[in-house]
Amino acid sequence: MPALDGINVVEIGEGVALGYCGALLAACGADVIKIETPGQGDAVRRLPPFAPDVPAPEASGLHAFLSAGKSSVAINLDSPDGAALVQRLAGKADIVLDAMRPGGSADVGLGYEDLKAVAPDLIMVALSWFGADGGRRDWLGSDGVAQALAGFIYPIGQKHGPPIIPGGYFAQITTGLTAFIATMTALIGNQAGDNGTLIDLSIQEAQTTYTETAGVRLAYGGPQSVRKGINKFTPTYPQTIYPASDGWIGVTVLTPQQWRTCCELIGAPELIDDPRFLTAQTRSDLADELDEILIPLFAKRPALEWFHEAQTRRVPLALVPTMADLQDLDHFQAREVLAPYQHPDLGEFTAAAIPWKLAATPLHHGGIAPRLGQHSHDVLQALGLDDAGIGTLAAQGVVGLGGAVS
Amino acid sequence: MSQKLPLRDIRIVDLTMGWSGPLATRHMCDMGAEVIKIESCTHMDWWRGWGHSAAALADLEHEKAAAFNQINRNKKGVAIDLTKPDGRALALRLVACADAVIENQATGVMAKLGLSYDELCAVNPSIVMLSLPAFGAVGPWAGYRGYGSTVEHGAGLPHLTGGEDDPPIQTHAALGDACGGLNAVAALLVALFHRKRTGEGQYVEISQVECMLQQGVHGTIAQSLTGAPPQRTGNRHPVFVPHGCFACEVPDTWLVVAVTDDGQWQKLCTAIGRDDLAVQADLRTAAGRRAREDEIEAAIAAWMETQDAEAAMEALQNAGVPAGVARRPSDLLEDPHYIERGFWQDIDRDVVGPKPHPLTPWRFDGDRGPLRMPAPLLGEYNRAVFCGILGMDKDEFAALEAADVIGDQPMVMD
Repeated sequence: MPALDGINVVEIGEGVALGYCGALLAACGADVIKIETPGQGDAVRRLPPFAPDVPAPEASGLHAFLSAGKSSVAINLDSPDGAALVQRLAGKADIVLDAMRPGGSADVGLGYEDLKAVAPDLIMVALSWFGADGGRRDWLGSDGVAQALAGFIYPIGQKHGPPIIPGGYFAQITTGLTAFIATMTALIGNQAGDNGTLIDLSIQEAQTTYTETAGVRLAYGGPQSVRKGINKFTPTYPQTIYPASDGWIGVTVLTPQQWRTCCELIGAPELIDDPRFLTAQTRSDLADELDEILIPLFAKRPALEWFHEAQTRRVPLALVPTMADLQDLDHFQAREVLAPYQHPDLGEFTAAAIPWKLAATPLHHGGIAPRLGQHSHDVLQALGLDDAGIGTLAAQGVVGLGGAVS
Repeated sequence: MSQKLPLRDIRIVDLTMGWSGPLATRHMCDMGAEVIKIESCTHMDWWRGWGHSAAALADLEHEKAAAFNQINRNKKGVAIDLTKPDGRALALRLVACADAVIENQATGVMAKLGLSYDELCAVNPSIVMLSLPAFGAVGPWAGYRGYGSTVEHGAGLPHLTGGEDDPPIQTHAALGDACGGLNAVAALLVALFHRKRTGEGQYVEISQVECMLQQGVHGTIAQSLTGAPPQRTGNRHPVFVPHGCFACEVPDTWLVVAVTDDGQWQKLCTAIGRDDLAVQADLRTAAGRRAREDEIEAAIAAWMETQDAEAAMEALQNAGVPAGVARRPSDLLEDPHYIERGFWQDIDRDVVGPKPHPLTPWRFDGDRGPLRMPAPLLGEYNRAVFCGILGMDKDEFAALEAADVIGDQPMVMD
């Protein structure tokens, strides 16, 4: 039996954080119904990577990854009839994930108090860029904006700037994961006799997990954060990426033992007792000098050789694999790190599998993603609506039936 | 949130060190679980610092580490020498009355200590055990080790940041640890939910490299769907135009601006005094703006270089344009929004005095997980845990102390 067998989830709103939290719940066996705006769908349907030659709103591989295993139901929440339908679905739910703008769900009758009246033990998770209260509640965000305010991008980049915004969806994936942790915590609370809760989680604060210690360090007399250059990590070094003869090798050397072994490995035993480089901190202070010595040495051999030899000697170097390498390397293949996904219009593709290996309750790895509104008819029928009633709602624009797969 | 915290019925034996596993158990204890953190006098948590001299230890340097102290609050710390038979036996007595064991030792260490999953099951058949190795516990690279940066490199993530001519670019948070910790607590909670439902425990294995791959999932999707990795566009965004990080008037202050829909473009033009751009038909769509992105960025940059970063952020946000300053991480304590939302709280601790803590990122019914106690001194809870929870008598406690099986004084580490 999947771990979350019988747990019912409704997603309202849109975005990567919402979708990822729901994807994790679905992978654990929960029944997840995604409510989307008819015609338009979740905003993630307009985010890359896109499949070539597939028209909107079905071209997004990101959407297919996030929605795998979910049902898509297209309902217009601005319509009172539409909101009433979602309230009925929420009444049967254990969990509602809400990523409408702060206050938006309450405005259409789907706020926590509204839903708790029909689902007394409901766990409702309100996701937003900046939280459910505070002076910045209504500010707008993006992944880059949230990363910036969380202190994540300032240290990345050339010394004279600008800071570099990491590609992808760092803050929102992290928030989806964090929302899942909070949701599971509340589910276990319900097992212990609690009666649900309203969870407030901001993307900015979730992303702060990666940076919060810098603020604490300052209070201990630690340094102000700096930006010293691309891949010039502080306050320990080397913690960087060097070119190998055929690719890139990640080099992290912290302890005295690791430094000694690393110097032997690269054929530079004279560095072991070089007073300039005795500790990770002094090496950080002299990172430019150290790079001048190490870069030509690491350029001599292939990345995989460095990687295996260093690891055999307990020095934590890493091959920096390309996306193609991830498909090809035996270790990743043996561990099935890429899982098969499907979508009616995209066909089959692979994506990084959700990485938890639970022996007794294995996750669904991969899965089939729905078209926009693909499950509208079936889900409404299960609510007790007949074909005529569903047809009327569709004609009124309250629900969308366009995604049906024959 | 009521005084009764949601994880109140759960007891965790915590054999993790560093940042990853301890972040996982911090979330558990912040939400009410009893976390018993095991260190030893010869192998302290290296997050206390490594390479301490005898003099530094005498000066209690191992109790002054900001990172250790903030990640281990709310935990009960004991010190057991697990390499001694009596130490192993003591650990197993804790396992016998626990719901879960979590560890992030190098692969093979737990087996060497006689604390493999099978050996834990022998004393507690329904135990949950979670292991968090860098590259995984099975597979050709099993046993390979790594820090946060190693697993970030090992997942190929640096290939997804920067521009076409840049080398692979790492972040500067060594976030692989924290990302692994978040995944660990997530999976642990799933296993604990199942255990409560069915009585069944299980073994859970998580590779930290694979956790990081989720952060780069778009890269794996692009490779599969298109046969190529995502285009490296620097601070530009594949969909949103304009999107970048712009220099403000004060040196080394920066503002990220992201126009995520066409309506925001009009608002941005007005806010920067360029209504002449707002009326140009070809710029009304992102595709049109892409064709003139250099020119648009120059217009924003020209306005921005005369602006105070905080004021410009306020102005743009008030106009309805997403914008955020590139906050220095060390300045997070002073950010008004975190303060207003109660993100930081001080707690007093021996040796270091009152120091700030980031609370849980979530709030349950308005409340973050409470700070109940500061991070433990080495072995601080030996008596409370061994005598209080296990019911050990004082003679046995004294004998274990005398034999250096338990203790609270560090010995010089590697």
